[in-house]
Amino acid sequence: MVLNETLVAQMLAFVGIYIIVTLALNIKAGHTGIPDFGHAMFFAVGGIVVGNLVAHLAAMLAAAAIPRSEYPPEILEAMKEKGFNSLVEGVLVENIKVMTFINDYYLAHKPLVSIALLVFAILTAMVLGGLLGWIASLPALRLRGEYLAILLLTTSEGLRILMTYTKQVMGDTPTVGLVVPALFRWTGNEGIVAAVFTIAVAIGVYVLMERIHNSPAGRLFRAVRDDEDAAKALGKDVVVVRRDAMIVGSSLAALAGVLYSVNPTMGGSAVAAASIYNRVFWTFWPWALMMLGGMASNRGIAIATAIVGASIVGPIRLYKDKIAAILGVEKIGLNPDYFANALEYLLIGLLIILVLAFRPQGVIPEPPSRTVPPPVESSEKRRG
Amino acid sequence: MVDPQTVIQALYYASLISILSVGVTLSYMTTRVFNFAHVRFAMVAGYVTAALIVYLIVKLQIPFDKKAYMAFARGELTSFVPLPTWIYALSLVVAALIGGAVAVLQYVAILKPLERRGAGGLTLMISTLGFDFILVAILFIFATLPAIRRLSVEARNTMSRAISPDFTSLKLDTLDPRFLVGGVELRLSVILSILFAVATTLGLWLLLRKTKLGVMMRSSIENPSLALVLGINVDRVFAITWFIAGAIAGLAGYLFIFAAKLLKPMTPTTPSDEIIVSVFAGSIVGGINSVAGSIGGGFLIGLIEKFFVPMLQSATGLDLIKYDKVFSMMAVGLTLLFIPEGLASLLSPERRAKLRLLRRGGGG
Repeated sequence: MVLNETLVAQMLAFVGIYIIVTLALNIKAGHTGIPDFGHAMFFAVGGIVVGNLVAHLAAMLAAAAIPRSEYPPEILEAMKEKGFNSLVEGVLVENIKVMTFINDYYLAHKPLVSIALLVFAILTAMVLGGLLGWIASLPALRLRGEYLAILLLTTSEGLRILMTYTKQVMGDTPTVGLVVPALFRWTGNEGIVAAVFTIAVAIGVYVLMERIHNSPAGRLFRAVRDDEDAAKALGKDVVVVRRDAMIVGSSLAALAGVLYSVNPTMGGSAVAAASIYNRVFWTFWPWALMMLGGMASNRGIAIATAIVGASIVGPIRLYKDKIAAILGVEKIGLNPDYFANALEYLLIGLLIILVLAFRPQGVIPEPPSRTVPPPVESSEKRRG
Repeated sequence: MVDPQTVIQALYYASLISILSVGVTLSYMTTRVFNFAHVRFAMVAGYVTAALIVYLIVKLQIPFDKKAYMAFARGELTSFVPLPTWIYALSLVVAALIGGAVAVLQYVAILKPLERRGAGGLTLMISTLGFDFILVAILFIFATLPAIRRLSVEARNTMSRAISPDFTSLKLDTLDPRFLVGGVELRLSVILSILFAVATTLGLWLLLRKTKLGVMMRSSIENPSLALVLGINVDRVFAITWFIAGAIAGLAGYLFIFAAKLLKPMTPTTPSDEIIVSVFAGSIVGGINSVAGSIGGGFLIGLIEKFFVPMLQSATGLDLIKYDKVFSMMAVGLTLLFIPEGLASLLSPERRAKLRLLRRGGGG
């Protein structure tokens, strides 16, 4: 396995995306104690925004910019065959052809449009993710613990099925997915640029999380987690606190979803199939990484995610066959594809159980929140 | 008009969900944990049992009676049983034992030690997730073991290609005995599924209400420390409860083997990944603290998905069948939000007493 540019880009992007997803889960589950087992649905919001909404927008702009006479023959043929009149209508009907055309002939030469679309995607996804998070926080008023976890899990699963089979969202071939607009094509080296951008955003999210951790808001989140009644007695509105945590965490998960979907080097994300946004990758893996890093410990999570993501998750998912070949499983007669699948499941399973058994507080336990130290005189006065 | 096969499949599916839901409830009642690995017990049991059946086919060189199969298809024979009866009986027992053994393993090796370290409900739930993943990994490796693959090729040849026992996508439905009853084709797995649901209900009722073990189980669930003081080995009683839950799941796993056309072919991940949410749904809708409730709830969820939704589709003309799970998810949401103790709580003695008082005007 040679360390080439693409591999580095993939691993960086992978780590960055998982750091954001896991920190987003951490603000809900680690800090505030909301057992969100429906995290994948907020992540999927990002994918749907990119694959559907932004794709439509890009098609609209492309249709305005490119005269019909310049359309390549296969698009014109498809238009006649499938009976759609504009590129916008064609986004879902003839997804692959239309989006490839838009990506190659329009977005590749329009840096400003691409950047504007990316900003639009991020903002829209965060707003929609936050909105969904707010809705999901409503049942948290009545339910606690495992019941809430199960409700969020089933909601996420139900929504996933609903979205997958709704033609207006996923088109006619939900299992194949949608080709997403290539918003980094103009840079000439989309893999690296997307990865650097993802890492930059991840660092931003990490800094934000550290600030929240040490802020009054972060302390309030943890107060609600540790003792709801005490928080109530001190006049804090527990409902509002839980809602805020859900909104922040969910919109960040949606942000990660955008970064994942627009990245052309991520496994299978040139197409944004709803099946990619499943509960194993985007709910259970973040949970495992959060438990490993330490709940409510941003640094622990970042370190755990970077190590596990870069050294294990990334290569395993992206280079299944090579690992199987290195371990020589073919020689003893195992199917390398199945073995790689098994390896990923085995790792996440063992990781969860070993962490729970031997280090339930995580790699780095929750740090005390740093507050502003009291002024020197006053402490001296007290001593005197 | 209602197609008899739709009814049969709905009954099969509903029974399957209900016997799996009752296991989830039993394990929740003892350990207070939603067991994500529960349906995987059934998968493990199914895989091992299928391997046993395939092994026996090769070992005993049982051929596939194509003539009888065709005669049955033409309606000249009223029954078609491709394997000796004892194989079905033996594999049933094996499936139950394997399911129970895996469940006990999870309880003893993972949940009990974690509980002793003071792990909370959520931590335990996540640990069941971890165990589930380990089981999937084992199934993935098991499915491609060279010995298993050789065996499946040999069995396929022995049966003159009537079965496809590739463990990465298991299709053994031709081995399911079939019977013609009143012009309708019934399969053994369908009959057994309904039988299992009834037997589970009766068996658990008898066990919990009429035997000493049942009294011990109920008291350990109700108040573990008090039961311990009274000399009940709570750990052992809970382990037995887990064995029962796992054994019932093993029965479901037996049904998976022959399930093609009723469910998808068995792979290391399906059908478990697809039905686990429905199983939780059944358990919650029926009442997570009620054995009888979860059987009813599971049956209800199964009927909603495979009977009510197709009926709604044919009545409205909307394309609803692929959304079938959305309806059961909605049932869970409504239940948790409005009657969190499930449908069983509506029928519980306290509730009924309250209603009686209200009717008399006595006030709650």
